[in-house]
Amino acid sequence: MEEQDKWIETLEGEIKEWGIKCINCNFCYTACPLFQSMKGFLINGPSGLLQSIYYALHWDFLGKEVKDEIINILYSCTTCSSCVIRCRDVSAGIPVVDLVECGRKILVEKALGPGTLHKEVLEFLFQSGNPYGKPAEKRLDWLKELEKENKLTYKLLPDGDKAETLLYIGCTASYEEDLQNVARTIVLLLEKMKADYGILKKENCCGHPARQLGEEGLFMELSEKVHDAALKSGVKQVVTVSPHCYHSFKTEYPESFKKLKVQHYTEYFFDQIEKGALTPSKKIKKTITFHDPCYLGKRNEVYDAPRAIISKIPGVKLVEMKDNKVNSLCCGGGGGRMYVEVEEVTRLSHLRLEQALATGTEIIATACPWCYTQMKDAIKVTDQEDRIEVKDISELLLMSVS
Amino acid sequence: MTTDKRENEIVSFLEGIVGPDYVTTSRFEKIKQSLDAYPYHADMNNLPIAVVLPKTSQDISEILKYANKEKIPVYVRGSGTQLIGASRPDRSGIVIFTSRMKTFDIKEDWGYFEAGAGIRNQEAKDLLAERGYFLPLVIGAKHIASFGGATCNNTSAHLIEPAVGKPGDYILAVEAVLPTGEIIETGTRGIGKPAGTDMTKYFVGGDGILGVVTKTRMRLVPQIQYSYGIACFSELAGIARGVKRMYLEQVPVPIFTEFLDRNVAEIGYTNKGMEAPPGHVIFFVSYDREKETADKNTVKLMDVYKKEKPIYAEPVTDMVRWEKVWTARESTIPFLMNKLQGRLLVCEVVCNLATFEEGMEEAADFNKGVPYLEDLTNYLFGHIGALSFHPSFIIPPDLGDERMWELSRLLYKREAEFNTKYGTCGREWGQFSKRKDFFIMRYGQTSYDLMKKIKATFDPNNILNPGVLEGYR
Repeated sequence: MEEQDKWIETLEGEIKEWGIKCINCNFCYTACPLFQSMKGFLINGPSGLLQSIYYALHWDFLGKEVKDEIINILYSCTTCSSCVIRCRDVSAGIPVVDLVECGRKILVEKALGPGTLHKEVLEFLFQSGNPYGKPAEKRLDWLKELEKENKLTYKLLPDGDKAETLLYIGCTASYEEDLQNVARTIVLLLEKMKADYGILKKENCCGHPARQLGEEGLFMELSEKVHDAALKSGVKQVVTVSPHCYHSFKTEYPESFKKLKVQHYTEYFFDQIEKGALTPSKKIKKTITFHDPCYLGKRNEVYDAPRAIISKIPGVKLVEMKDNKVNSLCCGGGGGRMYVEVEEVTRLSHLRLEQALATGTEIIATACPWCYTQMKDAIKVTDQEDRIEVKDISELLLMSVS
Repeated sequence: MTTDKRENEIVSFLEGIVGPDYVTTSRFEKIKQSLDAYPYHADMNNLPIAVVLPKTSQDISEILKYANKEKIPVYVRGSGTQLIGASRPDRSGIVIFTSRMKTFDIKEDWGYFEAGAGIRNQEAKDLLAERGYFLPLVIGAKHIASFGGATCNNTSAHLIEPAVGKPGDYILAVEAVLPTGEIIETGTRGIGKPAGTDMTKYFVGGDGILGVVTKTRMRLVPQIQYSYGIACFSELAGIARGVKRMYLEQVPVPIFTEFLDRNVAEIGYTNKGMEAPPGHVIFFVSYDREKETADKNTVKLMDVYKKEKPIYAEPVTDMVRWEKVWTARESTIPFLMNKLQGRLLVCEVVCNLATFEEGMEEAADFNKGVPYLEDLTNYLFGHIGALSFHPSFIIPPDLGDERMWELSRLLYKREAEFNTKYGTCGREWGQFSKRKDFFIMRYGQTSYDLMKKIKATFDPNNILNPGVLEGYR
């Protein structure tokens, strides 16, 4: 109990220390996708999020009376980091997203949060090792189907043979039907370049969703399993399908994990193209725009590798949306929002789709399972399927190297 | 009637006007709408009753008619970035937040554009630039500052008036809602401002106390070309003489000339990853319709500054470097706070041309003899081309609210003495709230009483932004 109190005190100290330094310049608002998509109240923007939790602590009224309201405020954030970049570049350098996560942890520790649907996600993570509540034993089913048609050379780690590279699939590409194809595509690309790679026999969630929802204990538990399995398997590097797992491995995992080279698959395949291990040769005569996943771009500054892969494909015309790279507009799926319905006036994915359509592009390429889902839904809901489609970069690359 | 019942009635009325989605009684929203950049907390006992997001002038009209009848205070906020406390409500009432009033119409055939109160400075600038026009409104808080707020303030901000005038010089008309609820249109649909009485002037630079500006009509100004330069001096006196020389030798006045003292420059430059300059810096932007002429103007300016023996004076053609230098200046306040891990107190002093060297020296010694502040470093920066400076102080974050208030009062008292001595006034942040005592000191009690009568004529029940004219928040 004493330890938990100390932990809460540390978290509260962080918020109080930074909250008072926020000068309410409000420069963060015009960078914030949440504010753009909501009704226009200031609590739906970065400084408003921070001041809400700061004052709840400063005036000591964080309790059941404001529970639902503060949950709605803190869990609406996409954690895209646009505000952090804006504040760093032109203001007081407040780490708003870290503080939002601090606030969420406080709510969890005080048994005030998260909301019902997010609690269910945490329950699923705890029970099944994935946020969708799917059976753990079915995690590799997507691979079995692929094996029926292809001879695959992957190793099952850590118990099987040694491998140089661990392909970490992540939960969404393991279980969600649309995204399983991305996992298969990446495996086929690895096969084409005769990579020495393996997949965890008992992969579970990297823990990132648990941390994002404020459940630090569960994050520690899940991440420890992945950490130990990866190190035990003796691989030299880890390649991820999702930018969210990538971010977690690179920034949230302990120091001991740093001896492994962590790459998102776009970085990995770009390196392989440069080395000549993969050669995109088949023409794809399409106009393509790239939607930067926030956890790849803004949070980890990987902007060039995905674009470089697209540019290497013969016949492709790469065009940029109005908001791109560091100014890229979030699809709305981050921060735990994939699991709940956020009441938006204009859906962020629809705003992003409008930006893509304005370029005259035929394909929105992306490199994140959640962005893929968000954009695909936006196209369907707005009835734009005749004009535009979503492709993962791995799918485009496979089409070109085949 | 109980307080709760009355508040419920107010909320129901507001919901009836704008719909329940655009009215909130969220305690968190009320707190956020009570804050500005000043380093003391919101007033727990005087939070707003509700925050409302109107869409149209008609919405505001209905709200004000009701508030006037019921004598409910109404505060109007564009973005809350005003720096003399005027956007901080000091009593419980309705907060009107203009974020939904985002109409923007460029009428090229008519030679003007019309901006809704909620349009952001940067949005307007970008939309105009797409059509080849320049926005003569360049605010430090460009990312978020609203058109309505900027109009009420008539702020020059970074712009140098002898070069381009004030925003009000380009504003042809406004649509305003009076505190009693009537909607009026002032000015003209022509391209020239009215001679004689122009009601526009009551609202442009009216400190937001006489009406709510819901739409601003502004003359279209063709895009201009820029040319950039930087000079670095070892002594402040050299800079002062150089700027004065610029006016006396009739060199084309640049659109911007900014100043960072040695300490501020070091923090700003290093924050942007540049090597700290060896002295105090000024940087300027010459302009003209033609790039060639703008470049020539830069050379002329450089020649003037070189007469005062700078460490260096050079044109800047590397736009990446320029962008960094400009951001180092534009974000001085947050960079100082970030670097020094404290809270900010800042004011605005303005010199006159005749005694500029003396004025600049006094601005550098601004805190001399001021209790507590004299023990702190005065970080000096500002719009030196307009002869204005911002003495700034970083206060330890653990100082209590009461002490912060006290220091803020001392600061504004000193600002009032300075500007009164030099016969000037603030050119960026309005004239009341924290500056009410200055107004009386500078213009006399008779002028202030007259202002109160004007306010009472427009707003007989003193419901619109009450407290701004009365002073201090």
